[in-house]
Amino acid sequence: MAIRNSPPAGITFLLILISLQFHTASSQADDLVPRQPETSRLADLSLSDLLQLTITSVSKKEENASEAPASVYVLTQEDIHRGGLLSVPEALRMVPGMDVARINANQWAISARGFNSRYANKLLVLMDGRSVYTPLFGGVRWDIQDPLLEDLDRIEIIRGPGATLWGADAVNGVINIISKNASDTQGALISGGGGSEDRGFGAVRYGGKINDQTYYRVYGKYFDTDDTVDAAGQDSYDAWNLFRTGFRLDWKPSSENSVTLLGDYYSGTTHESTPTNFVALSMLPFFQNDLTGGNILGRWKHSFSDASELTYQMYYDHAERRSSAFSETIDTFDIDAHHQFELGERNEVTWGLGYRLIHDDLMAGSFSTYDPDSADRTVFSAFAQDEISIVPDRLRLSLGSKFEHNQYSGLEIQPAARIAFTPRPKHTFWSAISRAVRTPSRFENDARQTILFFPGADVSTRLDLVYNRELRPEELLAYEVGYRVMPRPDVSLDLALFYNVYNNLGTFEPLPASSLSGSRPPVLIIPLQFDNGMNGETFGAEVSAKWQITDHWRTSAGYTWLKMQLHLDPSSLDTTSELAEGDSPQHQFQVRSLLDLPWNLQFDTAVYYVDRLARQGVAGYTRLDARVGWRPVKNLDVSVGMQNLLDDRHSEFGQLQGVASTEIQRSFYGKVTWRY
Amino acid sequence: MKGRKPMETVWSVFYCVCLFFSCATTQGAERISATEYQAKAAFLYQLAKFVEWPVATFLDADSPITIGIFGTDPFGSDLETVIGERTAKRRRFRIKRFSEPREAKGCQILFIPAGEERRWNEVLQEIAALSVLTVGETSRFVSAGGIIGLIPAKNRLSITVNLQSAERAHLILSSQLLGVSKVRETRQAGEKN
Repeated sequence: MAIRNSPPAGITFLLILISLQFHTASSQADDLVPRQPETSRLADLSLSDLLQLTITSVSKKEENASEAPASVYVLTQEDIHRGGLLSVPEALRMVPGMDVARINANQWAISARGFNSRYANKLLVLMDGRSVYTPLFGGVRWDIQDPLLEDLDRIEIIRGPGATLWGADAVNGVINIISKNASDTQGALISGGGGSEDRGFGAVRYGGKINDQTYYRVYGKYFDTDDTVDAAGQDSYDAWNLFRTGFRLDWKPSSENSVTLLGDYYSGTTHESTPTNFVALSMLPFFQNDLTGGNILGRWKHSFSDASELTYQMYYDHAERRSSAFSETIDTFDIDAHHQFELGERNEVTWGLGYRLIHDDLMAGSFSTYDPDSADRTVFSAFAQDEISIVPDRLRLSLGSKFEHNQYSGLEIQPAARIAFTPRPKHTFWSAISRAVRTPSRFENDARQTILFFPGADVSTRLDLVYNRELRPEELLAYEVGYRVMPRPDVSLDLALFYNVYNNLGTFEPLPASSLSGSRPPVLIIPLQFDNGMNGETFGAEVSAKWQITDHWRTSAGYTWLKMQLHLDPSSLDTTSELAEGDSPQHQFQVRSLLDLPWNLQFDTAVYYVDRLARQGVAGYTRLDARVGWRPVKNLDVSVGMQNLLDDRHSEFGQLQGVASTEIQRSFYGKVTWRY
Repeated sequence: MKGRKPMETVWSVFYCVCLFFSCATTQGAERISATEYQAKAAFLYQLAKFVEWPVATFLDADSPITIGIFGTDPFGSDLETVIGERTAKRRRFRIKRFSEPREAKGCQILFIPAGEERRWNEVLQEIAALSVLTVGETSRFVSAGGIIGLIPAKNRLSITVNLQSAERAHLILSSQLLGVSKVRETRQAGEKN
């Protein structure tokens, strides 16, 4: 394990933490923490009220997850709150099996099961049912995903393909970010704080009630993040600020119907710098991105009976990004309906239809052009799935497939078979075989981009990426097995093994060079065309465990092992794509501890170890985060967070794909939250 | 290009929100939320109100209703917190935790955690002739001769009742309870017990 620059202060602090934990754990046993007063009122609810009661517990959701035939992990509101991490991408560090690398202050590389990069394109992310996977390059713009963390109900992470339900692009995983029902965020919340890197942040939310069936909330938030530093300790140009406001309305006119309407608007800026070896004559080394956008989503659920439910959902999303280098506007309209019903005693059928229209306007910058620069694309999809209970409560089989048509690669069929065997309650073995594809992006289909420029005295050389309209989708056939067990009510274990076989992986194939006439000195252009010249296998194991040691002390741990083997086709002349093997860590390890102390104090710590990234020269690192929370009175929360306590700074991701990577510094912040 | 526009927007929204506060009433009544076992504890209490035990079940008018928890207890202190000093049918509650099937005899309500179901048949033999309201957590439990299942469905709990088992235990379940419950029958395999 490489702990760089460990200062004595860090180690002393760690020792204090450890001794404190043991001390308090032993003195906690007979300490009575005041219970929530409303708990004792539960018994006064009538039977029918109790039946309507939404169970908010961790264990409930985990229990659902514990029977699912997939690798599901749930970050609860409490995990998010006590993790002390201030944004969604950072919070994903807490999920065993996720690979989260912060490239600089406003960029992350996030993936699961390999293929990580700034433009990681095999992970689908949904925010309250709205896809935030950008059709432009097929990835997630993490710099505009910043919901109000206090209003999140949970983040569900499915590692492995989810294409049968969620469609193309859910290749290596699906992340569902789910906000609370408006009825669960009643009252006011005001929070604010600041620190060494997160210079200032604040949020205001108010939740109210229109009548017994209708609840709403409105919120606004803002943050400003400081530049990180480069390897020499100098400030880089990567500050980030964003303002966001939004609302959610939940209306339940009758027990059969519920309607949800939500939307938000954001505006902000990120600073970006181009690594020096990328800077061409015409490229600017520094530029500012202006980000604005918004979306609105409506959902209507109607239940015909206990055993039959229909959901309609519609959303519109508008995203703009402008800088001196490039500007883009993307409008997405999506409509989706699905119907779930029980067929006889043993079958639970879900089927659905979807339509998506994407319109974009891409203003060519100095180094990239799109042909055409404005386009409309449509995606039609249908899916059906049957969950058959072969032996009730013991053996369940689920069969299903997605049928999806896109304009670039035509019809894609993505089936899956999953089986779950529960020999005893709280013991589940599961296994799955599934197919998923990553369809060509707008960039791969239509763009031409200069990525390198070497000026020379006699001849200059230019490297261009060139679109390929014949590009096929990347295909995955995934084999998974898993075992989940709760040997005791306070202990749970989860093991997943996977073997993924990929075909038609993306490569860059050199085309015959040409020279640009009329320039002096002449420019030799080497075009690299997108192609499908690679295949490969990845395999790995993900283990996670949770242990509630006492009522006041909960711990969890996770270990991930990943091996990637990529192979170029004999005909391929690509020289770089195979190196992606070295972009994802082979080992990752984490331990988290959530400790309740007397006097309404909380002390939470997390240690993450991430192995080196072989290709990028990024050393393995150990990261220690801590948080102290205090609730002096019921309405007030005060917390102090400390991140990267073990070293002054370290790099988490290398300099790839035209963005300067920087070093993540040790940081501190304080935060106050008041609610009533 | 956009300059400091975000900051202006922040303040205008902040202003609107403040305005909103002053208009809105201070009713921030929070809805009750519960963990799975807090809810199950409340159910155990409520169930007692909707079940008639034979008169001979209790020693005298002051005898408490004993809730037994078999094996590893998933409630922690929730059961005590939720029920508190409440009474049902003018009887107080007593909570008994045990792990030997033969100790099941003194209970009027008996909770079998899902993790203990494999020992259910042993327990059932001990209480076969007694009026014990058995409560479990899975539909398998109800099919195997249990009386009531508190079964998670999506993010709520549902009640499943086995009327044959209730009848065999000489318990009368109120129609109010049956009105909100699903009914399930004993499966052949369970019948032999």
